[in-house]
Amino acid sequence: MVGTTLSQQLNNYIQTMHEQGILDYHFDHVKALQNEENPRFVMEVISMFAHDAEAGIAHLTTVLNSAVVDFAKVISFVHQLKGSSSSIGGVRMALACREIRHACDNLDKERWREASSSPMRQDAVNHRCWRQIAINNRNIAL
Amino acid sequence: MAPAFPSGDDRADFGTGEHKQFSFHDIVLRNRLTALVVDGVDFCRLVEQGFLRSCGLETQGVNNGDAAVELIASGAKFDLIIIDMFLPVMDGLETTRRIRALGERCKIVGVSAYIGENDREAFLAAGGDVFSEKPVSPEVLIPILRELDGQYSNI
Repeated sequence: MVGTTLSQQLNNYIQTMHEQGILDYHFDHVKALQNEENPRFVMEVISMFAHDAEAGIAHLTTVLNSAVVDFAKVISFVHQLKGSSSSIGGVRMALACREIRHACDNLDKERWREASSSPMRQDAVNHRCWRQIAINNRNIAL
Repeated sequence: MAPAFPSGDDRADFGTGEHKQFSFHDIVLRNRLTALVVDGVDFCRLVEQGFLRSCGLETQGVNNGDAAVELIASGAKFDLIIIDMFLPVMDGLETTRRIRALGERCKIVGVSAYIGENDREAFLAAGGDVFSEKPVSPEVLIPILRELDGQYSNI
């Protein structure tokens, strides 16, 4: 009974993230990879992503807050972050990264400041959502 | 109807603006197929290999272009190679060129988190076959796998 409740809670949480535009259908593809042979796949993948995303956002924040911004580094971090977030269905984070990349490509300082501040802070919140999914998934598996 | 061969675009538009969701389970392979995934990000490589295995392929993964080239040079054979363009040390384009230079003719799919204006042309010129925005979707992958598996009678 407890397991069912946790499972339903997780499904509801994921559905909410879909409705808020945080997740897209790629997450469902990743979820579908979990099976009896690999019962912890989703938890492992989300944990890896959450760790990588946290590190990536931290690096990006450091570079963006520098007196002289190294756009090549910004592009590099954002490229990796976009690839990772897209791969797990983190569409909102991926879109934020795309916006930053466009701004960097055009060396539009006003645009990248605007693109990087609000969405990246939002997506720092989003990546806490990923951690919550990982925690819920782990609790179900235990 | 999904396109029989991937156009390089990673979305199947059916004219309604709606996206038809395929699944990586929408294929049953008749033959043994193998794939190499070249991606510098461990998490992405894990997911990509997971998708391929769910389609029934045997997979191997490496995290840089040098390792991929060494593997091919050592005689390892694959039906499919998926290469991320953003690799440490040697990028995906150069990796593709060197794999082709070794005489390897398998299907090579290039993926990238961000596709710039000339990226697709550069990849095709390097010897790649299909270029897709990351993540590679079932709409792109399944037609390729069916082709490799000989499921298209007109090939």
